[in-house]
Amino acid sequence: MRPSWKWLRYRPAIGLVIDQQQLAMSVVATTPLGRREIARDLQECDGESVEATLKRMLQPWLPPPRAKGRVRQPWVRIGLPESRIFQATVPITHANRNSPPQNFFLEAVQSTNLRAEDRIIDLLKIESNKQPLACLSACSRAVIVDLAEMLGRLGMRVAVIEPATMGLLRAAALGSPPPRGSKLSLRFFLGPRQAIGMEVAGLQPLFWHAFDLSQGEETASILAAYSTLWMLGRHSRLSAPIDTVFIHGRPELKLAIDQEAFQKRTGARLVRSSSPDFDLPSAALGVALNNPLAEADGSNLARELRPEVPIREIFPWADLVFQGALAGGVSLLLCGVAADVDTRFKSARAETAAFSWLKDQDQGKLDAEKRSLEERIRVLEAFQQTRMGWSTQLRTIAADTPEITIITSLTGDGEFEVPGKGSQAKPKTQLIVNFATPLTEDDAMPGEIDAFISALRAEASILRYFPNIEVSGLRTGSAANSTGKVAQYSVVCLPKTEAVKGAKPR
Amino acid sequence: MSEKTSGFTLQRLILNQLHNPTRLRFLLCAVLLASWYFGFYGPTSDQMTLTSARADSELKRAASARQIEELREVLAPFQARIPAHSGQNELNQYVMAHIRQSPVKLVDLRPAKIKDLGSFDNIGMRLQLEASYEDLDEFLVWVENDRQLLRIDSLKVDPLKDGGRLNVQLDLLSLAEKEKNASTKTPSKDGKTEAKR
Repeated sequence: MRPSWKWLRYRPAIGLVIDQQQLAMSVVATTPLGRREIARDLQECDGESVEATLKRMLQPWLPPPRAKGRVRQPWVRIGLPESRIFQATVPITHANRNSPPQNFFLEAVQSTNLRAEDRIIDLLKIESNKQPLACLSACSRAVIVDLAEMLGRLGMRVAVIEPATMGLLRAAALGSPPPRGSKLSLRFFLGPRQAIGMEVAGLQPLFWHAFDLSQGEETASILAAYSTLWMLGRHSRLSAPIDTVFIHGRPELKLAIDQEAFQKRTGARLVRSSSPDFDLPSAALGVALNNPLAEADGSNLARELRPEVPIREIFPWADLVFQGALAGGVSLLLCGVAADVDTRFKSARAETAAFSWLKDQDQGKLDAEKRSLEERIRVLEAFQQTRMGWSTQLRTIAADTPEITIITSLTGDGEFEVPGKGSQAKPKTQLIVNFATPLTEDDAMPGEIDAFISALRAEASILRYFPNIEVSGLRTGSAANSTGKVAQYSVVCLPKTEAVKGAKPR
Repeated sequence: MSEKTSGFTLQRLILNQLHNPTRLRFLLCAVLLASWYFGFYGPTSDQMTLTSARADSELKRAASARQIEELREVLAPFQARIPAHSGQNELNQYVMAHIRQSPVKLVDLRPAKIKDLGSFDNIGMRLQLEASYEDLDEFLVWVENDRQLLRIDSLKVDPLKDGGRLNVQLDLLSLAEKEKNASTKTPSKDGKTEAKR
């Protein structure tokens, strides 16, 4: 019966429905396709005790005995047929809102010859359409305790004991969940000869009503049960209308009323679903789908008998693995980035190692040295590049000077401009050459002067430093070592930016 | 005894809270995230930041070293033209030594005021010479082409009364390493050297 692919299953959950003569079992586990039923069994007692039959059914799911340590007993979920459980829904009022479950039970049964102490009563408080309700489930204490002890002897731990109808509802909701916004609905589960109707608020059954299904009168029976459940709801002050009616099971059964007529008659939408049938295995499946170890707020008649659930048994190992893998992936990525950064550092170290003189000099020292070198180069370049080529200029002027012309004096300035000190006065740069040329016999200016000046203005060696060449101070007079009259004038050579008037001839 | 009881109660309370799967998952996620953050991400991130900063610093140092080497290459030809032990006195002796070997007649030599040029000192002198035009030309060529970096900032040439000779006044400048010139930074203003061939 155990599937061969059991290595794929994770956290199997066993659901049992124990009737007087029949036992149904369903095993649900987490598989790659989700939470799925992996095994199902239905057995008749046939004169055998329930314990013996159960032992046979559960045998494959019991863990093998260990030589050392304690064997972890599997949890089992139990569903009891609706006939063995008293169920009622009582409106909560100001008068009873603080009452204990026993008082609600007595209020529901309206009888004084029943002892609440002999029963285990489970109370769930819910609210439907702003009406607070108390949902009661009660069962004989002896039945519950006997069941728990019997399963204890079989090596099982009881996780939950609930009405089998809860299981049916859970199995039905798996395929046909309640419509969005649905407040009150009815679900009918059809069997071969019997059916059960259930009034449901969300996923909480409020009332149920089992009834016979006579052949050919199935639709009438369903409509009668509908009326019964509607009246029960009204009695419990449920004011919300029934919005949806689900009919599960017996897919071959054709109803005598179609959906439109049903909605016209009841005001509720009719939804037909092929499963689950009203049978024990379907209920067992729903019971197995319960997760009472993690969700402690559902109905549970074995609440006070259930042993404490160890954290490790509800620990989300899958989450841990997923998150661990995620963190591992991100860590690997981070390691890659860190390795890149490390490689970059090593490469940078290799680059600096190529400079043997660098050693451990810090950036500040290097910057200071760089600044110092830049300053030295700036000074040296300025010193050399702004030098005047006096020898070349003197030779050029001497070569161009006409033979009859005398150089009476020469003054040149080419001051060194200190680089980076713009606030200082502009350095003096000029060349002034004073000439004396004898006048012609008729005391006219000799034509050689013009030719001489033109020749000077064409000399590249002079133009390199002094693009402005002007003649000033032209006058006649007599030279110191000459008897005749001479024309005295100055040739003023200036840099490009300076005007000729800035220079004073000597 | 009461402490034990309260500890036990607290443990029970925590365990009860952890039976809620949402809380258990939240706690698991928080614990996992916190342990990953503080156990791995934090130290790794810090290490990465440190390594990255060190790599940046090394790269910057390498870039600076490269620039310094380039600057040194540019500076090398100039460096050879500034003698290691140059100063005002050395410059005076150097110029006078040259003039002694040349036909130029030194009339007057006055050291100029030293100017601060940062790494260098600008040293110089005012020379008064008597020379023929050819001798002057030779002297100027020497100044321009000498292995020591020299320059003439001002030049004044006047003919002397005895024909053919020139009276020359010029300001001759050079550079000296600052630290090596510290002892002779402020020469006497009245300092005057005369030499006659």
